[in-house]
Amino acid sequence: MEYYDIVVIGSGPSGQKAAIQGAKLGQRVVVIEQDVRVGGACVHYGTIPSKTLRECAQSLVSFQQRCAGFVDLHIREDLHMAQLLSRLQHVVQEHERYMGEQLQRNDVTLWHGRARFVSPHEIDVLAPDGNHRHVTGDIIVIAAGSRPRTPPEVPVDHEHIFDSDSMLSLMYLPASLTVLGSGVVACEYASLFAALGVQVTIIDRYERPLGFLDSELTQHFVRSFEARGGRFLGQQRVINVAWDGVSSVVTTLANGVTIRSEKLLCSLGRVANVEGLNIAAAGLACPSSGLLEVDEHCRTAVPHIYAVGDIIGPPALASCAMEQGRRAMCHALGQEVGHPPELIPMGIYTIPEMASVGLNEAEARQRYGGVLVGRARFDELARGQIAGITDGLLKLVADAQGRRLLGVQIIGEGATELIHVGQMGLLAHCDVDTFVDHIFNFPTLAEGYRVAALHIAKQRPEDRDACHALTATVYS
Amino acid sequence: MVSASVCNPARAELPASVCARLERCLASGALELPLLPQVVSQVLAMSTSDEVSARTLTELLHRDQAIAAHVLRVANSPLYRSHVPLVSLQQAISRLGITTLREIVTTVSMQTRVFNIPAYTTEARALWQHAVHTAAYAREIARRCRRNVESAFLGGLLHDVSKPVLLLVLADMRATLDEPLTPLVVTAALEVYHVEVGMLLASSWALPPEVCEHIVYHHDPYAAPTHPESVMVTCLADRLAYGLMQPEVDMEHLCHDPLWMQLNLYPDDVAALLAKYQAIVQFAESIG
Repeated sequence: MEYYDIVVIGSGPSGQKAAIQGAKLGQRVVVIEQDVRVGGACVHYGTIPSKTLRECAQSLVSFQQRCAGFVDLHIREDLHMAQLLSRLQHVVQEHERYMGEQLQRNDVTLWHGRARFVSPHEIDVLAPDGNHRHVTGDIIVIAAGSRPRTPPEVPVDHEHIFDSDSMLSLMYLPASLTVLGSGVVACEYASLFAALGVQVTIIDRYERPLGFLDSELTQHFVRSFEARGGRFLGQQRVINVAWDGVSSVVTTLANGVTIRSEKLLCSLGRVANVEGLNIAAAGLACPSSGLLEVDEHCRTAVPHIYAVGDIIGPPALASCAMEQGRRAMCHALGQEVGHPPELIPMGIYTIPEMASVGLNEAEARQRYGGVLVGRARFDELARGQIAGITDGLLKLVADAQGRRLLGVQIIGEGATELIHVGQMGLLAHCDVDTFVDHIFNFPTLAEGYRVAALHIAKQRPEDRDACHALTATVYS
Repeated sequence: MVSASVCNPARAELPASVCARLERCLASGALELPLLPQVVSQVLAMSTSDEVSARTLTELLHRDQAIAAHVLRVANSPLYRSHVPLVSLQQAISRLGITTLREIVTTVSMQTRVFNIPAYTTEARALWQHAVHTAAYAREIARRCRRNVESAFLGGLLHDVSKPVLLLVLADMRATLDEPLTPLVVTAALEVYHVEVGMLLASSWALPPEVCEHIVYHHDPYAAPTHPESVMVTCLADRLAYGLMQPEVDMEHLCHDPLWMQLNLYPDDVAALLAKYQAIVQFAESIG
């Protein structure tokens, strides 16, 4: 039996940050990772690989747009996944190396194996070779992550019917792809494969994809997706999915329509990796939601056990998971951590990108009644025209007086970076006029903030006349 | 070319005259991959019947290493290849369509020599069976590891594709050798030369690079230059297919193969895969 001050289960973003924070505060820390590599699903199956592949696809799309008219550029039919993924391998290796080095530099011990509680302080670790080790810790952080949810009616075989963890094992680009679900992962994969010339059909039971986002953004996304040959089938119920034994996956809908495609991606959410942990032995109740319940400090009902990342559910963002890990560890060690973040920006790496911070238009109307909305279309921005980034929209949502900024929503290339300007504005409680009164670099996409702010100013009843001349100048 | 075979301990079982003849033959590059008689008869029956379903053709492609290798070679030849190199059987079916594939399969079966040597029927059957078992096991391991399943199946099916070629060469040599080709000598010859012949085949047929690595490195996956983990899947499947066919299976030995750990497969994964043994045997029997 070995003893450590802190035992962290899982080396994904939340576990890694918890471990490093603990080590920086002078504790002896061990991380138990079931994979042979550190980083968790984020590095090996999720965020990093899909975003790297997306970057390749986006580069191709951007190059096509920028060179249109003087270079006849088509994506090669024989473009292989392996070629697209060759950069991915490098990125993942580098990320893994850097994370491993960071753990090493902070004297964090790494054990390879599956963790299972024996008691609230004791954990059994099963190595792949079948050997067991036991470890006890004063503080335990569960950061075991999640895996794709597979409904029984979808026979995922990782050969014709994939989940999001196996999707990138594809060896070649399929001619056609059906995507079940229209959440973040589904839309990211659907749009990137559509950008690579694959005929993609998204099927979901909801009317529109990404229902938690501003509806104007999602409508814009569907238009862009369909302009690339994609198809969105909303309000549909899938009753059967089957491989035909020859060349197609056949998806049958409740209305009798069948959709045939070479491959299918089942992306219907994720489930927390709880069951292997034997949490009952730790004194924790088995949750009906499948997620571990925690307080605002990520502490479970057992005071020395914390849970962070996907295992506690939404927002299930890598960015939040890292912060949860850091804050949980600070709290466990009695460190002051300040208030939890008020505003969490959300970035969705579709093509085009989408990002949101604060309230969207519908949420603001529901909370405050009337609102004013300012819009800046990327095709009206000089930078958008120059860079060929014309497929985009920046929305500012303000209170009914058009003064107080309530939220920012963006769709378009660079949205996930641009959103941070809005985030800082919201955190600093900036007035909408802040974006009018200060100068932005020209030409930039960030200038969209000024255009959208002027659009709001133009709608203020008392300012309508005063702003007329200024807005006319900017829009001309 | 013969450097690796010189180091192989099984070479001690081979008479020098057999080695010399084989090496001369291999150096000449005159290598032909034969089809089994039953495959040819099935293909010819299929080509004369309009009723033969796409499923029958698909099953045929997936169950025979020789026909699979031939189809990949012909489908990637300038005559049939469009812009897309075909790297898996499933991709070939989807992209070329059943009509074109039937044409390729029929052409292959008409032009390829039939492996019809009564003396080696048992050996040929065992090679085919091992290829199918390895492919089926590789497919299951790949599913478990979230690796490409099509590539694993093809790697398993083709990893020893050179052995039937060698068997045909030995069959041709039989009548002119001074000493008899005992079963021990035949087995040793296949063991000693199959990797090198595999290299020759992979190169002369321009098989997809990943398939080539399965053929060349399946006994030494760590040396595979670009796809070591994929080749580990084939290597492990190869060992399982051999191990489980032994009259007395050394389960302890199979369970402690270090490749399980390399592929991050835990004891429950190993148990689940070993439990597929009957299903895999049945799969091979059902298509045999």
